[in-house]
Amino acid sequence: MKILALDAATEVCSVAVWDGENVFERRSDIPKSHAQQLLPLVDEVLSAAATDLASIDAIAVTHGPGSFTGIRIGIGIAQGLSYGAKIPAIGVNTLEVMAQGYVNRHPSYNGYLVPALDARMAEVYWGVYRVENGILFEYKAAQVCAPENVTEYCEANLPSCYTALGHGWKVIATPAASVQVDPEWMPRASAIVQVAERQTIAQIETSAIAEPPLEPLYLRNEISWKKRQRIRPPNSL
Amino acid sequence: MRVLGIESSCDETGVAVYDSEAGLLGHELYTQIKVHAEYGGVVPELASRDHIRKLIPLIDEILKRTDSVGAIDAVAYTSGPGLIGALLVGGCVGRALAYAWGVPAIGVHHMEGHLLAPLLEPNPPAFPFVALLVSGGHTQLVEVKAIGEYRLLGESLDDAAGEAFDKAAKMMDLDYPGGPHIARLAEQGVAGRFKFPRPMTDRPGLDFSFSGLKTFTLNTVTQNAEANGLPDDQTCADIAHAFQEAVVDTLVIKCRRALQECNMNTLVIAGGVSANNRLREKLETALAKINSRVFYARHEFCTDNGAMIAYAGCQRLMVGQTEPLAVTVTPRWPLDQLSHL
Ligand SMILES: Nc1ncnc2c1ncn2[C@@H]1O[C@H](COP(=O)(O)OP(=O)(O)OP(=O)(O)O)[C@@H](O)[C@H]1O
Ligand SMILES: [Mg+2]
Repeated sequence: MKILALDAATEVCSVAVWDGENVFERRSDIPKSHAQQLLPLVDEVLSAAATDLASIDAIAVTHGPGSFTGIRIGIGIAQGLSYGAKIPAIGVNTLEVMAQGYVNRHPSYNGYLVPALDARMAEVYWGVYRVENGILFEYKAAQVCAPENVTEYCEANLPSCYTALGHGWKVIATPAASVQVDPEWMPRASAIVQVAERQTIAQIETSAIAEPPLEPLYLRNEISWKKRQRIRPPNSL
Repeated sequence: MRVLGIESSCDETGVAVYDSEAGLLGHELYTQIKVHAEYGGVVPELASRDHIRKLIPLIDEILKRTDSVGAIDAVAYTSGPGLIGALLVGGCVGRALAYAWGVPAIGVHHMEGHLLAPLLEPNPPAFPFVALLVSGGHTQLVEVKAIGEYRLLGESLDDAAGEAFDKAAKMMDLDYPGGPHIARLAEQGVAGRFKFPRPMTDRPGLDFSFSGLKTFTLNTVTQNAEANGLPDDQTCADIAHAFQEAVVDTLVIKCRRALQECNMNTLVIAGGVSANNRLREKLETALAKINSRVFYARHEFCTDNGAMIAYAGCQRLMVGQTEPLAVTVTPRWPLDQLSHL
């Protein structure tokens, strides 16, 4: 199974191809230029893997949480490729991809991972994952809330030596010294592959992949715009 | 050459298939008006969210309906000016589709799309001509020598004409977008009850200003308001009438002046406000007197749509212009910076 993976959900973006044996990856950390970077990276990484779009079996993209614009760039490109080349596409969680990347880098790690991204407006996106013998399990689903709530949750529910990942931890209070903190940890497309593979296999088994809905996972849905005050009922004049 | 056009610069998701031989094969439009009406204006984040949800289903529909599955030779998408997040959706989907199909793509200037929309009609105008672009974000007079050869003659120094319609409508608590509602209400208005100014028509030049008219409208509404804060329905209709006459007269005076200054006899009007029947009517009468003619698109192609993008893109693609794989959108982009064909 060949997978094309894309990530543009945060300040960095990357593309990877898994050809069944090896993973090829290209990354860029030029901010605010994901739309310019992503498709050239796709082209580059397909060549590096000596393959082409037509040979890809599935496309996977981080569908959030993260920057709304970034998420839509990733999904927009993925939708175009998927519809154009008739390849099924799935969305994967950015936080899970961050956690998976950590497991890839530290294959012998056992315990809890708490990826978090700065969501602005004094909130963070975060979730908790548990790693057992190299396998990642979701422990607490991704959500958005105030940094204090993360501190509170971790203190009450996690052992004292979990690992904290991502720039969300720049706004969450520094945890106890026993906690490993890496605020520079970012998602990368090479880690999407494993997450997607788990998900694709699960979806293929339930045959849900035929018409995959590639929808952003925004987590934050309230809009700070003021609704209009009306005197007369709409459509009355 | 068969081109898929994608428009997503603001609050309409539009797609179309234009064929350089066979003409326009079809178009689809999803309007987000309902989404934004509650807020009285376009909420950019909600616009982007709707575009990414609706675009692929619309493309699927138009390709099937026009029998164009597997038959598209190029993709054109609006790459500016407009809302950055909204533009990015159409740009990313469009560019990636072209890559997947192995065909070229082109980014289209939204206002060039509007400007060329009347060329989709039977008996289109011939170059050169003067164009009046009147929409929600623009009021410009442009000398058009050929596609891509544009010289700005004048523009609004403040609000666009469409914006003025929308704001005047809001003052009388009409629905968003206000242009069509003002126009409808104006039909019931009594001429002559209110007299509104014709801003900047008493001096030379081709620039416009609509903010004074906006203040004048607000004062008139306030002075005639009843206990609920609004004038009665007939008074609203009378205000709408006076307002529309003032905007239309102002536009007509400047259009006539522009034609004379350029020594031309063809005027093209484009953009949402060019759908206004009173404007069309008054231009026809005024231009007939100076041996000139006005051209406009059918109503549905005055406001944002995919057909104009497919058409404008096709013209540039046919002379070999294309876009690299990088998706670049330009939220602010003066029309006269465009390249010639
Ligand atoms: N019949 C009408 N009379 C007057 N104004 C109208 C009419 N129909 C639409 N409009 C106005 O046209 C505008 C919408 O036009 P359009 O979709 O071309 O603008 P836009 O895309 O928002 O702006 P731009 O094209 O400048 O980026 C609105 O301001 C609307 O009120
Ligand atoms: Mg427009």
